[in-house]
Amino acid sequence: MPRKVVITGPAPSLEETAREVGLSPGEARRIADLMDAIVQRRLRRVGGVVRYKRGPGPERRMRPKRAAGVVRA
Amino acid sequence: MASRRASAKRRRRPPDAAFLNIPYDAQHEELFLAFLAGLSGFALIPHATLEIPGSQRRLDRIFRLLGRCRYSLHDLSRVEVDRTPPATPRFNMPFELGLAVALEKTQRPRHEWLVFETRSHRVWKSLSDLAGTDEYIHGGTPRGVLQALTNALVRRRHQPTVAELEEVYRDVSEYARELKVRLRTTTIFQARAFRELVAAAQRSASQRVAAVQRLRHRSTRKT
Repeated sequence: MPRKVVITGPAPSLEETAREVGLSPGEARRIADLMDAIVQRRLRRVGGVVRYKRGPGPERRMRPKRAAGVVRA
Repeated sequence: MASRRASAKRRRRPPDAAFLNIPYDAQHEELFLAFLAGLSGFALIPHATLEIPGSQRRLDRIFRLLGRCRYSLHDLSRVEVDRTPPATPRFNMPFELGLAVALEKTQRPRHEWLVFETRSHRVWKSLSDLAGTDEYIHGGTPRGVLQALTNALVRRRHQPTVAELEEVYRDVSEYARELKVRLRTTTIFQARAFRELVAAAQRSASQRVAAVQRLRHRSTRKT
């Protein structure tokens, strides 16, 4: 069984990541905007956005088989 | 109250970084992106020698960069002889692993390194000094890389899932495709592309991985 590594550090913010790799804050924001657009596009494409199914129309709605209290002539 | 908040801000630990030692060739592009996505999903900041401009003091810079990283991941899949003449094997990756092993013995807090391979037990032949060290096998696929990462890395409270990391990988792959068009290039193995991809992967992970969101929430609550 290979050894495991336990990570304890905090999650980096966009600014921290940009500083660490040498990007300017403006550039980091531009990249974030581009990635947000990709995420949104992919969510729409793969149906990640929750879409509620429309229920059956009035004609397909099940009618009661027998109306209660109706007396046949 | 204000002083407690100020001291918490002072005490906030910087995020951990991970050094990525992987072959820079077109065949490994998908695996490279998978490593970037996976490391970002574990809230680590990836680093690679790609960031270092070529110069005489390259070795010193590599060692300094490695020393700044708490973890290093070494993919030793590329053991074949290079096709371009003169035919030679590539020694950079095992060499950088050697530097990481040396750091583990000397640096405090301890540097931790992990070995990845496409095929199991091959590393025991190609680098028999590692006998007794188990490697993580990714089978040469992005999903394999993400699975290997979730086996190798552990977060105490919040653990990312392979499905979440795959979403980050797909986002980053799409970003890489657009980036190549924008930079008029055929490769992502460049300093500028690497920097952009690291920031893009971090952004995607902060939206796709619940563990990262919870960690961010905790750290913003503390400060």
